[in-house]
Amino acid sequence: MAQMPALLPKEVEMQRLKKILIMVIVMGSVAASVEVDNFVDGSLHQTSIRDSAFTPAHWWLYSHFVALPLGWGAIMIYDRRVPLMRGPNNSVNTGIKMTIIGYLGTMFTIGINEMWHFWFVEEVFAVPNHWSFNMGVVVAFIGALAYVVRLYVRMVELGMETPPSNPYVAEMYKLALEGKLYSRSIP
Amino acid sequence: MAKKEAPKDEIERMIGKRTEHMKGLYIIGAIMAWAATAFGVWVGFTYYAWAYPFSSGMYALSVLTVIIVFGFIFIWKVAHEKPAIP
Repeated sequence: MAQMPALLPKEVEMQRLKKILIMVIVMGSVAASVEVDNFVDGSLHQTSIRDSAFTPAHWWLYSHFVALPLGWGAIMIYDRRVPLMRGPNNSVNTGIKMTIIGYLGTMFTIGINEMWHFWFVEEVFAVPNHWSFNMGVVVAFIGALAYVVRLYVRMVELGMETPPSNPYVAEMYKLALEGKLYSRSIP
Repeated sequence: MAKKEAPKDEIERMIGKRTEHMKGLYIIGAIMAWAATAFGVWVGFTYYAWAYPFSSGMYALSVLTVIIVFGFIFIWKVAHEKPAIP
């Protein structure tokens, strides 16, 4: 990707990108934790009927589905300080938009799920009220990946990454920084 | 086009606290995350002993501790990295 014109001093942009990446790492840790809880909650539901919504596995699961949209929302607010991370028409970055929409889906699914389980206590994994938990997470992960790639590309453009020690890869890295990486395949 | 650099003190003001100087936040954040996790696990095996025996709680706490430590190491690395092209 070609070098983009600087809209704010390089040092300032680098510090802001680092702060965004640190927040993304925190969100990644929270997402990793909720993946573990999928197994914990799944194993509980295999062994016992759903006598209450307030089991430790549910506190763990549901608190994360509230924390994730709020956390990514905080990243979105801070993200406005880096003009090159903005989306089309000066709007919110498309990746972060997808992430927040996906996790908001899971957050609202908590309510839908509880309404369903008011009538049907049996925890069948494939029932429709569980679909939007999974669909929301998938949409959020796709968006987060797109956002992290954009973030990383900008960090590489600014020279924040250490060049690789492999000389062949280092050459590709140098070409990428000069905007010439694709000139081999697209003359 | 000649690039006009902002004065140094203006840049410092725009940056605010540098990531390298936010060590306390990372350390206290990690400790609080671990303490909250341990508390949750304790509640689990104390009040839901029929579903979560002590050993299950310790297993969950170990996995979550690894996640917290990985996150902390990664944050520490990002915060203290020096740019390859300054």
